Amino acid sequence: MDASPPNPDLSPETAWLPYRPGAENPWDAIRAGHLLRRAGCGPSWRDIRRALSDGPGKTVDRLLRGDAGTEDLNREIDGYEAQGPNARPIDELRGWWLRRMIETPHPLLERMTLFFHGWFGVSNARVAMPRVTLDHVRMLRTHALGDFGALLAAAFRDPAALITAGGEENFKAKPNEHLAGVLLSRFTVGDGAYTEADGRDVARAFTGLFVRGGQLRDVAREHDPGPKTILGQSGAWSGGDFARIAAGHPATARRVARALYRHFVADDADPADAVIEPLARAFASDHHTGNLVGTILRSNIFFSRVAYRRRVKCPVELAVGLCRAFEKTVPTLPLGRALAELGQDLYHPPTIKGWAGGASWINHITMASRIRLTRDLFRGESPLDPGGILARYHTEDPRPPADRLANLLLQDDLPESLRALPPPSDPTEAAVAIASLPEYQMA
Amino acid sequence: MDKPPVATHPTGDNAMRKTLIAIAAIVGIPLAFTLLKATRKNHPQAQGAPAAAVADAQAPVDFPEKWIPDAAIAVLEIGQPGPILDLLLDPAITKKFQQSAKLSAPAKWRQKIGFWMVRQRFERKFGADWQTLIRRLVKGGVTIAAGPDQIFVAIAKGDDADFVQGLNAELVAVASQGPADKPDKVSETRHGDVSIWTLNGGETYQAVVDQHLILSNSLLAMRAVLDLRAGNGGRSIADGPEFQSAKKTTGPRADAALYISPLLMSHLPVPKGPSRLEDNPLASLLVAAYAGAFRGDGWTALELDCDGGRVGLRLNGTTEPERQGPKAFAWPSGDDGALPNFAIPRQLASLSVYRDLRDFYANKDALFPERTSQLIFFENMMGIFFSGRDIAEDVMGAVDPHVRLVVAEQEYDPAIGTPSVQVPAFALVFRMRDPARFGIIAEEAWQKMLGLVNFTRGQKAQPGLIIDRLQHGDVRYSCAAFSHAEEKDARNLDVRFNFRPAVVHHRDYLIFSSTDRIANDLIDALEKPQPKPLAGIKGLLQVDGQRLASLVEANRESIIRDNMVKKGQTREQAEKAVAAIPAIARALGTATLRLGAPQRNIIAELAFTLNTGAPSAKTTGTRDTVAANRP
Amino acid sequence: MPSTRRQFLRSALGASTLVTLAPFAPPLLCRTALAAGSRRPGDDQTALVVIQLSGGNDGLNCVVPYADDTYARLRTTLRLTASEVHRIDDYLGFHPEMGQCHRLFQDGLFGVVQGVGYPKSSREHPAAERDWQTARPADPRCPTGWVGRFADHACDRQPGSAPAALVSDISKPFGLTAERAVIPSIRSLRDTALAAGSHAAEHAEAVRLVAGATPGGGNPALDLVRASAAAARDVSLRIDAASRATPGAYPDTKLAARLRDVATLVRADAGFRIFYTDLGGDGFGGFDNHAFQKDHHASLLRQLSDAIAAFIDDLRRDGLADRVALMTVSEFGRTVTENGRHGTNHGAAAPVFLAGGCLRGGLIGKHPDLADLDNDAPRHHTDFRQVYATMLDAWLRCDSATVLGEPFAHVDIFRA
Repeated sequence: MDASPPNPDLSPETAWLPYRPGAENPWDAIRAGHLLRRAGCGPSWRDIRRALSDGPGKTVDRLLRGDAGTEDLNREIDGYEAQGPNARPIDELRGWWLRRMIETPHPLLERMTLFFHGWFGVSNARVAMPRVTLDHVRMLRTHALGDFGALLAAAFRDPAALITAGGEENFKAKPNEHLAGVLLSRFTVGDGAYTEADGRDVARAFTGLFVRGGQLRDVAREHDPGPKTILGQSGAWSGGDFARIAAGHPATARRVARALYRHFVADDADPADAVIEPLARAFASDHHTGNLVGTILRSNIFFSRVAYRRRVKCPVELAVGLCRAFEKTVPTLPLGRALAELGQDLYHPPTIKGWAGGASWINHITMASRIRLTRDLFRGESPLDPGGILARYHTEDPRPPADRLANLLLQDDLPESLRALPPPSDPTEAAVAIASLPEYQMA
Repeated sequence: MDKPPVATHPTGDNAMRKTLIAIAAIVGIPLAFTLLKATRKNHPQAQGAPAAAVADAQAPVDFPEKWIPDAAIAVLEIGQPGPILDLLLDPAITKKFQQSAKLSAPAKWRQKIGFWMVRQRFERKFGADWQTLIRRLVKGGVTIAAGPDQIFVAIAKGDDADFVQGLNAELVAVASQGPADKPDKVSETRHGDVSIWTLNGGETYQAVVDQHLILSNSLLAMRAVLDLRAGNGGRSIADGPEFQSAKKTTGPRADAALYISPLLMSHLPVPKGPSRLEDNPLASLLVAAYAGAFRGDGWTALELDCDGGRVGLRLNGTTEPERQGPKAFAWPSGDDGALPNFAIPRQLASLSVYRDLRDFYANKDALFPERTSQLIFFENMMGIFFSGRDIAEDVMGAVDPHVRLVVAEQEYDPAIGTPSVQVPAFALVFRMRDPARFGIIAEEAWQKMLGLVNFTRGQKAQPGLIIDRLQHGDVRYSCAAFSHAEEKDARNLDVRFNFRPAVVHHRDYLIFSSTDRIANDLIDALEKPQPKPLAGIKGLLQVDGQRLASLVEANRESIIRDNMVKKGQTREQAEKAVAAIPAIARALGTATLRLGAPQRNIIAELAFTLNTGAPSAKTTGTRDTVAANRP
Repeated sequence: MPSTRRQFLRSALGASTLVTLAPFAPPLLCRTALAAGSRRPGDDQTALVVIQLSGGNDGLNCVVPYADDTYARLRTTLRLTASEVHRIDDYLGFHPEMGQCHRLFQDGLFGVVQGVGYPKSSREHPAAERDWQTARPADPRCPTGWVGRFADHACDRQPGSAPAALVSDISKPFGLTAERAVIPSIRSLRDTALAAGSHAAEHAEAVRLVAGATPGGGNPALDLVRASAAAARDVSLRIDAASRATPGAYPDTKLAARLRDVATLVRADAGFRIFYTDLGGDGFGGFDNHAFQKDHHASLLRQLSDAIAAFIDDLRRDGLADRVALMTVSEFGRTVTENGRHGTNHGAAAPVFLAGGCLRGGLIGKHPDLADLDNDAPRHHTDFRQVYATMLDAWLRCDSATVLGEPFAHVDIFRA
């Protein structure tokens, strides 16, 4: 039964070296499924088939780059999200984002957009202007796999992020130290890595910046052009300079690396500093998010027992993953509502800290709701058609529908005791039963 | 024998919904064909002489109701299949239907060839073309009964027992010649003195009794029917007094009638019971009077009546109006009733209702016992707008019960531009009891309300409305508009540019409108002599399919987008779905819904009068609301 | 179509394939995490029910100082007289529609904490609501609500627990905003079930089988999911059973229906510690009676009083009243003076109502002195956070200072 990845004796040095398939840890459907689940959502049989023939290196390259058609899809959905000069209501935007996640040829980009959505914790409950909240998430998408410094620079001039951080007003006579505190503690270096003096000078760097009616305004006469010392560097800094300084700061790098570890590797335990350090060092020098994600996805640790099924799927992963596995979109407007009930309301993270994730998604009420949602996704006139998928792929497989669907959804890695059960023979019932398994809740 | 399982298994909502869809298809398809025909041909029936179909309808049909188990939840009786078949078998329509059906090219060919071969075989065997064969099969009427879980029984009465027997034998023979990979496709079992044929591997069961060909998708249901027919099967729907009384409400001239059991009725998507109405004062104002009217303990009857340029559907309620008590506000007395609708340029829809708003509001305790926050908010706001006047007596009581709503297509000022989503213009027209006094009170309330809207929008950093005085003819009135000075893309304006709210008090009338344009058109309409109320009618809704179609087309992109995100359709599916709406709307022409109690019970009547406007053979004076509308 | 129809025929015959799952002895479940959904002795059995009276409840016309001259003078159209009220003493009486609460009051099951408010209280709906919801009036940026922080705290102590729930169809009040805990909205008991309708039992059986399979393996996250799936099944079945047990007689109002659901969840040991519900709905709320207050308020109080009494009576029948404490919250009271539209404006202090089997009952604290008003409204002498703190510490056994950010003196509301 133990086809799952082994737990090699990993040191902080070897942990991040690229995984090389071998007899003990072969490149098989289980590992391909693991990678595609974490770096995308889903996956479908087509995805797995392709990853198996491409090998891990080429697959990670493609995940980072995305497939052809990404721009077209994004442009199309950008159009649907607009309404004249404004945006559609927020619950529709939620539906469109889910649709984008389901249909995109570049799922890792959406994952990383979602990751940074949690990082900045921008909620339309606070912003109260769907267009502004939408623009924020589009900004995240632009930079999600690129230069983190550019992302910070954009975020520091982003009306939604400034509103969330309490930074609508930055008078010269009254620098906004609340904003400075949020930028330092939440968006960059984190608590304990800065002093009160840093806070004061960050606040001075942002003077002259105002958000009025959801629009950014630079008021030159309100800007304090004097010299400032921020995180050990002195100069006549403005907000953009702070973005550059913070992006290259080791404390920022450690926070980003740690958060991405939780996002991609495991969220059941906090990693040791020594494990994070190699990642942080690399990120502090190039602050390129895509490179950092690439390092993680190629690594030995990623393909070890430390990572395998050690994350609880967030509600979005659960639903989007099912849709991608069955290669169909579903009514995403109601889906957005259902996911909110499970604790993940897109465009509305609970606080500026984003979603806590991990075990906090799970209790007996949310489990019941996950199972109900799974049923509802397949019910009635649902576009998800397990029978149709079975007729399209691996038709040579003689096993009953439930076993073949367990191959699609769990790459056959399910407990021995469950294999003994005569499973439902109806493909839809079988799909519901398998997607309701605790194993399927794990990413 | 026991009751068939249909009666013993409770069903989920989903099964019920599917049943409804199936019933809708049964009723809807002939209806759609009737409509298509009427738009294409120039209504030969309407030339004066009564059409053959109408004459045929006088002959009473003896439906085999005693054979239908009382577990049935809906029964469709087609007394006059002739006119419907005229349409269904029309080669032009058949072709059109095949073109629109979603068949892939090979599937289409396979189906065509298969159909052609079977057709040849039947035509040779019986020496007549296939259309004639079908006509002979259904000559004596068709009865279709639906049970829970999508179980159906269909009984066709042919013109001759030998013919039906022969047809059955031939159908069985054809079914036995299916592909070799499905053995045991056809089998025969005896039930009493009748053979039941199992076809298509248990998808279909078929039997013949005298002139009747019986089809079902359930063996148990088939047996139950045969038992009832043999007189040893328990209760049939004909034994139920509720069904019988519903049957009495349908006229003998109906082309077809659908009877719906109370169980199925309770699943229909009309406002569910009083609890939802209590939460929603507006819904309550509009429909409280009918809640339960079509949902008694008995069966409900829906009549279908095709007549050239007009198709009527009539839902006969099981109760009389409550002329006493809290719902009396909606029921006119004597010769009173709703006013005929307005006719203004670009009119899309119009609604005229009889609602005594004073009585409605005075009964709010009985109608909304729970005091929702919306009601409290409404009262607080009304208290502010109307300066603390008593809402029932001084505000609601200031207008009489004849209330009209008009909706019209917009024409956008090219100097301003076109919004990305087009909302039609609409206006509410009241008649004031004391215009000299209440006109200015309403104006003040309207201005206070706009002030509050502006304040609230300002708090959200949104642009506000600028109030102006406009003049139309010799009428001066207030109108408010958003400034467009800062708009960048005139072809893609914000939704707010659909609205230029206006208030007009002119003569006895008070108009609240969403644009100045529709206000002007209504002022013109009110210059003409005003019509008399329609006795016994309390609600009259008219929709112009032509304009509805063009509104849908103007908002095509936005509807496609909605379908995609709300229904999970692909762009192609959504485009297809949207493309169908204008075509249907245009074919329907003008639709009229009338609600009221012209005699005793509450009735709802839906009629489609087609665009050609030719007079209908069955049209009577009271029905001609469109003519009454134009003085 | 044919296959769909076959499915329907099959379901009509009750032959769902799930039934064919072979009987299977469930291995040992992961006990610790399962506990959240299971009956356990001790403190964890107590539950707090919070009823939000949205809009600002006029306390003066609930516990009426009918003998007070100022009241009689300033309440020109809304005044309730000695002959109308349910007398508590020579000065106070309950609103005429609060007869049921008066009965509970006489039985010692209903208490009134008088004069509850907070310093520099806001008289605007959003601000005052937020203050009551965050329980941090001094921090307008406070990102979480007090119930949310309680839930976070409880989940940190016991992963997999579901400490709080909204039992209403209103959008989630800010008080239920948590950093980590997922707080469900229960609009109907179906929201707690594994599957709706006739499949529920079969599906629960399937989940029991799969959730019970192979625990351990050194993957605590997977173990938690497995245990939660098993608990979901157990709780779902218990709720199903509890909702089929004949409940007491509840009036036909929304609030009563919600409290009946709460009683069912308590009976089923669904694991919740705080149930949050409302009377008066979304928006500004039904208690915001600026106009024509008399009838509206009477109707709301009748709903409140009858529902509370039905709830307590129902729980008492099964000996469960000792496990539940109920309290009302409302963002402010109202002005003593009327506003000319037969209504009242936003005020300050008001009473908090309590009900339950472990309460001291009766009047707690003095009625505010109407000779010493705070800008036309009764002045507070008890901070609402004192009531919260007492509930958290003494009833829910959760350190109130962690939740409220600072300690507060307790109010003497529980029986010794």
